[in-house]
Amino acid sequence: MITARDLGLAFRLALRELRSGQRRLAVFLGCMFLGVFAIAAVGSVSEAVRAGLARDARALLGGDASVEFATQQPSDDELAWLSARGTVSRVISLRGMARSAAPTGEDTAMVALKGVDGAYPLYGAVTLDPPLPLATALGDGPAGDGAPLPGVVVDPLLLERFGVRVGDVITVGTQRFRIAAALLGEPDRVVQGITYGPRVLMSLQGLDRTGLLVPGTLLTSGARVRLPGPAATPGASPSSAPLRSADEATVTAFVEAARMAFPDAGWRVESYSRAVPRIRNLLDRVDTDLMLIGIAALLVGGLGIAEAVRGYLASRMASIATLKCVGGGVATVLWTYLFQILLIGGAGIAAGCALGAAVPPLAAGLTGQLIPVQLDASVHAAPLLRAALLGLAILLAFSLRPLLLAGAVRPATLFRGYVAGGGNGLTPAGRALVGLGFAVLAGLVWLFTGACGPGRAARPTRAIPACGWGWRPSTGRARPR
Amino acid sequence: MLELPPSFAARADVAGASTGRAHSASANESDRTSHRAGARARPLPQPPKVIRVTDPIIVLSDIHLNLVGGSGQVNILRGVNLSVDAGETVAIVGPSGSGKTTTLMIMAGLERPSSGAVQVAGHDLNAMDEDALARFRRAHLGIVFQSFHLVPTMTALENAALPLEFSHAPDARDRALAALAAVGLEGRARHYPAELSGGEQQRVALARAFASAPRVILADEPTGNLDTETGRRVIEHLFRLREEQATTLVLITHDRELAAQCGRQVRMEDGRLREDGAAVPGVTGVPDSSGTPGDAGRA
Repeated sequence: MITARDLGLAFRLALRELRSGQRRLAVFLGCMFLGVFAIAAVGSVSEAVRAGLARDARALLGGDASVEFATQQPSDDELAWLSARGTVSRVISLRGMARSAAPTGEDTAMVALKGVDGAYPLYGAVTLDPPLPLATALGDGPAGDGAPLPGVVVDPLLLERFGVRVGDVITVGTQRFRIAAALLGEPDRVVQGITYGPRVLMSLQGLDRTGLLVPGTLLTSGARVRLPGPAATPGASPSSAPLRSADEATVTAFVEAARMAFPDAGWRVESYSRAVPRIRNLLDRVDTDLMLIGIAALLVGGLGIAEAVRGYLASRMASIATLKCVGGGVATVLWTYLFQILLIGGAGIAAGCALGAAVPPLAAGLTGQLIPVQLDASVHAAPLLRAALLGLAILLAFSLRPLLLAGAVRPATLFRGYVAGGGNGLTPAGRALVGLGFAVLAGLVWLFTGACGPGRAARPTRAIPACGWGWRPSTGRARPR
Repeated sequence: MLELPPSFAARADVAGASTGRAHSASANESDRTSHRAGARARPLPQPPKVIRVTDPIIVLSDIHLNLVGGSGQVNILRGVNLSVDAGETVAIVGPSGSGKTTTLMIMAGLERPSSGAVQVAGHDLNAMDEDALARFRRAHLGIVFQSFHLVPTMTALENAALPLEFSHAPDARDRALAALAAVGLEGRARHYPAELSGGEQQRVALARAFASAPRVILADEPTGNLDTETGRRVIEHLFRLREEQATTLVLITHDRELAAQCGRQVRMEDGRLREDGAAVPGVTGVPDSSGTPGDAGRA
């Protein structure tokens, strides 16, 4: 059994041995760095997106909870019940045709209509160009020809398609609208999913005047609810509501209460934590795939690691034999070289993790164009720890065999003018140790990829966050795929 | 020269060792015992059954070493018997491939014999595992190689301190520095082996071997890689340090002058050890290039 003093000596000897010959370990260092960096970067970006989703979930949903009514017009009881518990914002979405009345000629386009009330948006903000208050933009105002018309804000794509500008007029249904502004940002766009055309945002009153809200129209009628925060009072306006939002337990309780209060209403009530299942599912698949690629790269790199370690130890064979000749115990000598491997490998792991942690801030700009979620650019420890653990496991699994073989070098060969390796193979204990190393590696790979891969609901997802390394599951139950 | 019977080798060597003469196998046990009793006060803690002497510091008894290779079994050692008293200087001479180095490795616990008993500094080496042998080496042995075998990444001081560090000696560096000073290298303590000449490297190796004040020094052709003058200076250091520390020295050499400096010479031929007198032609006119059939390389 090796003592603490022996370990201390082994560490000092390892530092001395590392004074030269690191060039032989450059490949080793490179393999470790690239593999760990790949895993750390993928994990960090995924975690940054998740954190961004969690941070902005309320804005993405448009409220603490969303209600999708079964009917076009919810009952007064339902609305009263909701209003009694928080600030309610009504939203109606449907497809429709818009017509341009621009001087360049008439045109029509399918658009995604959305009617909102004055409380919209409960979280986040609508970005308009020019920057007007939304209520002002959607209210009645003079159009270019001087006639007072209700306002709409529209996707710039529609402006481009119609060849119109802000101030011009479009027609939706039977109602003419003045284009009050271009709609650059809409906080709850993510949860809208696929839309069938450029967004046209108008007031509920304006939508009613289009004549499209007739029985049989295919639309989505819903409400967003902002529950009072710890210091807020029900019914307070969004602008006067405190910054603190209701916690998740309060929202969950609200959702359950809504389901219980109107069991026959047929409405679908969801909390903000379920706001973005599609994105999360997509992320799960993408980061599982990328992580598998990273692990595969690290495993292939493991072969390089094994070869690099073997070459390095071969260059140290005479030193190993010398240490044994002058009284070094087997364990002390093995630890001397294991420390060297750990120090070099640890440097690769640290560098990979450091650069991996830097990826989310660097990628924030890019992903902003790809997905409508602002990355949380802070350092995320879990994916870095995961990458470091995998790197360490691969390092040990692939290094143990050459290390044990080198450690078995016969010091007597120093007398012969050459130094031979550790015989024909490992001892049974050595084989068991190497097998254990690979078993641990396989377990970690299964744990980390199984935890976020397809079918993870059937795997021990719950156990992973308990260990502190796993993905944070967004829900407590299996999600449909 | 007589080849000593294995069962009595130790006793015969003990009697012959101090006088430099080979002894007959007929020497009786009581004679040997009484002869040893006055000179040796330290009994072996666990005397093996076949070796009943209590004071020789090295006892090899009927050592055989057989290796099985692709061409069948090779008998490297064929019944080596040797007893070395504490403080003795013994030169092992003989042709290349005769088994000299193998015998030295067995004394160091670096090779295990196929049969026979090995007793060094009171320890039965056959009964020790690798870690115990390592502890034994760091406590009792200093080894000097022909090729120096310093650790290239460590300074002269660190190399010299290695056995002491393995023993967790609190004053390892001071003692190593003193050992370097003893070979005239205190000014080169921070130099790496690559920055030292061959002679200096071998002196560092001497410092490493003597730093822990071992009871036995095993030297395998310590001047084999050095020119004559450098080798002479190294040997001067070796014998002076041995003298100062009263260390037992077992030395392999092809240099007849060096062998003659030792108090006793034994000759290895064809895996067997024979006592040699200083004037024996086999030592003074050693045609050492002659290998013997059946030997596996240089032994």
